[in-house]
Amino acid sequence: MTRDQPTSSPAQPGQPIATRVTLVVPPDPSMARVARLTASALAASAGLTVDAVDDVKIAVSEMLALLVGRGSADPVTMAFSVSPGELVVEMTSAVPPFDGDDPELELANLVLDAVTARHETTHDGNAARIVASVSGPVT
Amino acid sequence: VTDIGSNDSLAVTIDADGTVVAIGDIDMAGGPLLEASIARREAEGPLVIDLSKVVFIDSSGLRTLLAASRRAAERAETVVLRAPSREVSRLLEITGTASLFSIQS
Repeated sequence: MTRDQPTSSPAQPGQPIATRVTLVVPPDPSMARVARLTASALAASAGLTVDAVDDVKIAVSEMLALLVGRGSADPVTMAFSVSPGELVVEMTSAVPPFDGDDPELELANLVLDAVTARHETTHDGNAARIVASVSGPVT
Repeated sequence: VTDIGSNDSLAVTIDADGTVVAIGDIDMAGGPLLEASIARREAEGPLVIDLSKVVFIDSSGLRTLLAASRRAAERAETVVLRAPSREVSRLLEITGTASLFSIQS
């Protein structure tokens, strides 16, 4: 795990910082728990409420499941951008393109719609990229 | 109580009355363990799954429950979800799938 810009924690409103943490994990289902633990700690450091932290855990788990479920042996890179009241998660992995009618994708998107402020899934022909943001009032 | 198994995410037991009890996280690691437990139990009659000790569930875990619900419907049965935790109830609400189960509080 790498951390690009060390900062104090928790972040305070108005503080012009965005800490970026990168985590690279093997495409293994057991990594979902690692991803959730990392994401929830970072969400807490962003000052998000307990409910928003729960949303982050669900979002990260959905994103990772979509990528790991594609069956690639390539690792999944997670980049977390932490700023006061917001956690942006970007996951990338070299996986086959998604089928838009895939019921798994449809269900995951339904959940992501509910727990994130925004999310987007793209594929450049080689790798998939899923970006999601959870934001809310700072506690 | 029969201990079915556990991994980093989930532990599953089957009570003396046949209730499948899930403890922990039903995610892409825990889902297959729950699936195996359900498969072992569902041939013996209507399926009851205690979800009171589930602290996390995502759509990959929910798909395990939905698959059990589909199979139960083919047998003209309904899967009973007993005391679903707040996390389970929220996901059922988000996905609009609560009506596929019999919810027992």
